[in-house]
Amino acid sequence: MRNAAADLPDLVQEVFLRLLRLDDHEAIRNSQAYLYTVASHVLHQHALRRAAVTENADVTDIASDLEHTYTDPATLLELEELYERIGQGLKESAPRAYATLILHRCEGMPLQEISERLGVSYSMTKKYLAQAVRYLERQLEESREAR
Amino acid sequence: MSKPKVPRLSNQILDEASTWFVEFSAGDLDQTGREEFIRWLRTSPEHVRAYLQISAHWDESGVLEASAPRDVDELIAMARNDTNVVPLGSRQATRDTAPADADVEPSAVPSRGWPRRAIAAAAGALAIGLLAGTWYYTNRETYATGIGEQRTLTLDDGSVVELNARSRIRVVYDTHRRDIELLQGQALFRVAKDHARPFLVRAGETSVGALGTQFDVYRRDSGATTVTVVEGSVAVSTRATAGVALEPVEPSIPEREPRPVNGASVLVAGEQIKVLGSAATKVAHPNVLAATAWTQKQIVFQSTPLVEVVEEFNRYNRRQLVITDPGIRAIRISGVFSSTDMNSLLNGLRDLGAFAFTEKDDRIEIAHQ
Repeated sequence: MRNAAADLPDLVQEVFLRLLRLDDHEAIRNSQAYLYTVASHVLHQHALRRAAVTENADVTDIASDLEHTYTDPATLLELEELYERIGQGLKESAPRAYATLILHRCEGMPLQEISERLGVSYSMTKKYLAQAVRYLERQLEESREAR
Repeated sequence: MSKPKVPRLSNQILDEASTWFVEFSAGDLDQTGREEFIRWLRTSPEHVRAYLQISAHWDESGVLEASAPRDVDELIAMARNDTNVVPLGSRQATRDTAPADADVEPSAVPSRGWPRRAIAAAAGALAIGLLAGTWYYTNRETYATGIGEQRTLTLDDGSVVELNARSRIRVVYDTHRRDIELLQGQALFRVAKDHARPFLVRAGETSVGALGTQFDVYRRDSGATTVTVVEGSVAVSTRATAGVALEPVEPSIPEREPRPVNGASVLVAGEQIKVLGSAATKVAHPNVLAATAWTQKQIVFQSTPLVEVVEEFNRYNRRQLVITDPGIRAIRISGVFSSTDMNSLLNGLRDLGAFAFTEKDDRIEIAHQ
């Protein structure tokens, strides 16, 4: 990925400021989707502004750079290996969190069904999933720092 | 230029963000919960970053599928064997490695001094999240229905999937393949023509390859899979023939000889095949309308064993039917029922006078009269 990060310095800040401004009623009705919509608008507008001030820059430059990361087979393989390694770590340290993650994310199994199959409460299953999410995040941070 | 150093999320923010993420993922938030979520987001840009970063990585984590164990039962057994059942918060789990200032909350109001590189890194994560999300969403995604719920999905290539109740499919599309895995339940596929990319449906041991056709695949909990062709033709193979490349069959090629499946078997419109393990048998006089009646919100039974009737009923009702008397499992039932009014089926069974019903809170037990 080129210098996309350096080119997009104020994005999160802007998403945050818009979240502060927006109408409560609308925000609350569909809050998560609203966050994504705001973020996507900010990103899009930024790309437009960038295209307007930069020579030879295409609106879709950033997009295509990033998209390349996810369609290039070599990069994808690298990503699969990274997640495989992190998944193994989670499997060894917290098998239940790992099973919950795989069943929910990859098999599409509803959390209710997972709790029945594991023989634990529904709220415990949610804790397992949150544990898995935290683990992924920390490990990805570590691998990012190692690079 | 060198990569900007990305600061770690604090333990507290990571805990909060992942808990919120799971609440949304489970679909458990009511009005009050959503209000709280918005309030939480508005507390700090760091919260916004944490949440977007987790969303981005969640989308990305679809690649876990490549290395995930194939066997769901084994995975569950492995998890149940683990005696350390209480998940630790990240506070304990990462105490040793977390940066010293990790627990310090950033100020509620973003100051001008918010590190520029932090914003830049977060923006990168945000951008990746949005695009990765889009890509994985359309290319590698699982769809599921609950009890009594049916969904119609239009895939990228224009193919339409009707998903029956209590069913799950995984869709993997790329430039040279259209792979669908029926993980559970039943789906009707209307396949858009694309000669460059075969359309392949896998259901356990069974594979169905198609080109511009319409067919139904029903993967029963018992392990048996039924394939019914409504239009055109498909090629069906079992695990035993997995080494054989499965070539989609042009509908124009006639294939009349019914034959046992040994290698890929070709099925044309109006035909049906049942696969159990590596054994497959063509159904002598299949009723295609009955097999696809569910798309019209109807269920048709034609000399159907009670055990299958019960499985069908349980796809549409939270309150499950349970056979407590093995002797009645094979009793055959016929009739047309509405899948949106399952009392019609229950009343129909009652009217037969052959069964005794015991109503419990979460289930209805059925025994011999």
